[in-house]
Amino acid sequence: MDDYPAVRDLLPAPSLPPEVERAGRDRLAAAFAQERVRRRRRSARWSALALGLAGAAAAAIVIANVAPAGVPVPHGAVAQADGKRFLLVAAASVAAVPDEGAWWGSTEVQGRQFHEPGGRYVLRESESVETWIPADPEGLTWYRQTPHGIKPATPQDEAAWVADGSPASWTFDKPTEIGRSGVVRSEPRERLTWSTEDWDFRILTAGKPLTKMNEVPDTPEGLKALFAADDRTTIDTAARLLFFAPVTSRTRAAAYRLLASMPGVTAAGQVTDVLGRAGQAVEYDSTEFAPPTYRGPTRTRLVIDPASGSPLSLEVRSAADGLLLTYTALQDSRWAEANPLEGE
Amino acid sequence: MTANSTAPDLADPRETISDEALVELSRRTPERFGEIYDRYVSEIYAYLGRRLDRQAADDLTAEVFLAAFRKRETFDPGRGRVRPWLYGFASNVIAVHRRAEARRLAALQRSAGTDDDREHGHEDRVVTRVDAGSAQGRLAAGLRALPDGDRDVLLLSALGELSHEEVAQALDIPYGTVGSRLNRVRRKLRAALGGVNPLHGGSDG
Repeated sequence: MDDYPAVRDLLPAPSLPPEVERAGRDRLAAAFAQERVRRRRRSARWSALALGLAGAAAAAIVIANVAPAGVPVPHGAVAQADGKRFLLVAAASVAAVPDEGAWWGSTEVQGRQFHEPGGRYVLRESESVETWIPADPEGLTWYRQTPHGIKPATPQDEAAWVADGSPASWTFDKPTEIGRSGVVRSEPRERLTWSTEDWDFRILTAGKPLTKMNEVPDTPEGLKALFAADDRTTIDTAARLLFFAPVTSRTRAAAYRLLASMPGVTAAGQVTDVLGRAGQAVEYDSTEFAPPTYRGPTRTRLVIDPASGSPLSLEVRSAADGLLLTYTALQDSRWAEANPLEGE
Repeated sequence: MTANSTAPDLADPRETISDEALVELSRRTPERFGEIYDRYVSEIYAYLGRRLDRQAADDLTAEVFLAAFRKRETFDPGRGRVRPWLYGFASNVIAVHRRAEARRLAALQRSAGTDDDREHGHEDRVVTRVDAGSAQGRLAAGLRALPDGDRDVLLLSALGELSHEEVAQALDIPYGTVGSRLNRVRRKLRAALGGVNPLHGGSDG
């Protein structure tokens, strides 16, 4: 009797139960999310300047030292055209918003879209992320991520999904637009709440930590000098600051004015954002927000509510076919005295 | 191009991306490590299940991938491939569950014996009856009696089907050690299967 076959017979292989596979995938996904938070902090330390920010899946506010090479940025006659005047209105609106508090809280919906394996309809995966960043530099930042699972993106997509037999999972032999592969299930993962000390949202510039958010400049010129970056990165950073960072209302106003002045930012007019809210939009070619796994050119849209001065959503689309690839929609952001996640 | 002209572009490099490239990509984009999970979760689960038991495999499979994910910066493509690297993490997990493995082998030894053995159940009592048991019982006893390092080498080779070089990588031991351990262990096991008491088999054990 040969020993290897005998050993294999003695110790038969169990097959993997689907629920075990799924539980393992969820645990890994949680590790991915936490890793992103950790890595953002490292990036912040290493880069010339970083503004930290927000949700578990959002990227850091990082200014690269090196401008991307060979990337043409359209310079424009449209730079100060009327289509972008709403940014100045938004600046005036936001400047009046109170900005006192112990915590900067925000709730956003993050999502990403991709075609099902047969290409017949588009799926949307999304989650809500609640973030509480302390004004106290020693405090912990708190996160709660509530996954919403995967659903057909639009009513038309839903009809195609129903025609497909309403599947609850899809197998991707080839990565999706946003890099998912293997078996993807529609059911939401579990909600996660965590806090981390390694979240220094404050700004580091040229090795100099700014320990108070009111040390961030509150003029467009001051912000531009602080960022000290190429045009595209300057736009990305202004956008990140508006959407994610716990800065003063005056700094937000300055960021809107800076956006209005930047070449490469074009007006997109009145639009409806991914959550169905009306707003005014600008578009540009982002380096930071384009999904890293998407290989084609993309267009990034910032949707703003000029009346309140609130950013509504940041949406990245394929330049080729207009497919919405990823988005972050802010539902709420505010200063508060208490953080509801703490001590829960 | 085949007749299936609507198939995805087969030249797409992402479609045949190597395990090693995925681990490299996962350093910047953690989600890419999910593809490593998709490729190997069944295999690693099966390996843990064979060495420990189903319940342990249920509990520990994710640990293997989490440990590998957290150590992905240390993966060195110059030292080998991803698959044996993953088996290294599986081996580490098994190493802290040696008792479970011993229990499993003892149980196999008992179940391969007579009903009386099972009813009495004392492991030391059973060991004395190894020679009277079936070939499977003797094999289980032989595996149980092996030094842990020898058992790891044997089962990575027999169950994981790793090459000598891959076993060396997984366990971080010299290549030559793999060959010498395997020779020694297999001699013992063949003796056990042949009916000789494995506890006394082999002169170099």
